[in-house]
Amino acid sequence: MIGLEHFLILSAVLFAIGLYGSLTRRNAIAVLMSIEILFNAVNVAVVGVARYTTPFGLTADNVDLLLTGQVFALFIVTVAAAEVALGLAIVITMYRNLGSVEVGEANTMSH
Amino acid sequence: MIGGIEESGIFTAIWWLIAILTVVAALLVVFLQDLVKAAMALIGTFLGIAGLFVMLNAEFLAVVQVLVYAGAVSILLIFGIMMIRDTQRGSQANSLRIPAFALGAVLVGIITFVVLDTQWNLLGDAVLTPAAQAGVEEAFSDSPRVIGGLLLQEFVLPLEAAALLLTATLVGAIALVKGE
Repeated sequence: MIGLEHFLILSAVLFAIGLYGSLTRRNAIAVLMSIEILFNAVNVAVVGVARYTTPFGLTADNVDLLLTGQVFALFIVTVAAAEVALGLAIVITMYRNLGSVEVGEANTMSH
Repeated sequence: MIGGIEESGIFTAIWWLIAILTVVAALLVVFLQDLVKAAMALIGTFLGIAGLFVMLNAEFLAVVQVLVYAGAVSILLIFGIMMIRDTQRGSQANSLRIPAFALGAVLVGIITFVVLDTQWNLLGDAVLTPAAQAGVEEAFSDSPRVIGGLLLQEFVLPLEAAALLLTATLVGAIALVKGE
C-alpha cells in the first residue's frame, strides 16, 4: 500500500537527481533544467504532506486549512516560472557578451 | 480514507509505474548530452509529476502542472536552446561528478532515515467528528473552490506579491534581452 513515505522518498530521489545535475552540468540551460527538477521534487513532498497528514485540532470549521500545502505548491510553481524566464534572459545576455553559455566562463560581472 | 482507492493493488502498480517513469526521465535530463533531447525528457518528468499530483487528490495542481510546466516552461527552455548555437556539441559534465554523486546519495540516505523515523500525524489515524470527516472529503473532492478561498483570504498578501513578482520578472527579462 502506497503511503506518505513512498512519496517523500521519491521526492528525495528526484531532488538528489536534480542536485547532481545542477552541480555537474556545464551548460547554463542544462543547469536551469536541473533546477526545475528540484522545484518539482519539493512540490511532490509538499503536496504529499498536505494529503496525508493533519494538523492537531482539525474540526469542520477549519478543514480548508488541509489544502494549505497545495496553495504553497501553487506559489512554488509561480516562482519557478518567474525564475526560468529571468534565468533564460540572463543566459541569452551571457551568450551575447561571452559567446558561450558554459557556467565556468561567467567569472565576471561586467563585460 | 479518501475514496479508499489507495488500498487497491492497481493503485500501487500505477504508482510504481509513474514513479519509475519520472525517475528515468529525470536521469535522462541530467545525463543526455543533446540538450533538445534532455528538454523532451524534462517534459516527461513534468507529466509524471502531474500524474503523482492526481494520485495525491490534487487534480487542480495537476492541471496547473501540465499548463505551466509541460506547456509554458518547457517551450521557453526549448526556445532558449534554439537561440543558442553551440548546443549540438552537447553539455559535458564537469569535474564535480564524484562529490556531487556522493552529496546526492548522502542526501537521499538522510531523508529516507528521517522520513521512516518520524511519527507522522496521519490524517487516516486522526480521530475526527463526522462533520469534520465529511469536510475533509468535501475539501479534497472540491479542491479548486477551497484553494480559491484560501488564496483570497489567508494568502491574499502572497498572492499580490506573486503578481508583483511576475510583473517585475517580465520587465526585467525584457530589459535584459533588449540590450542597449
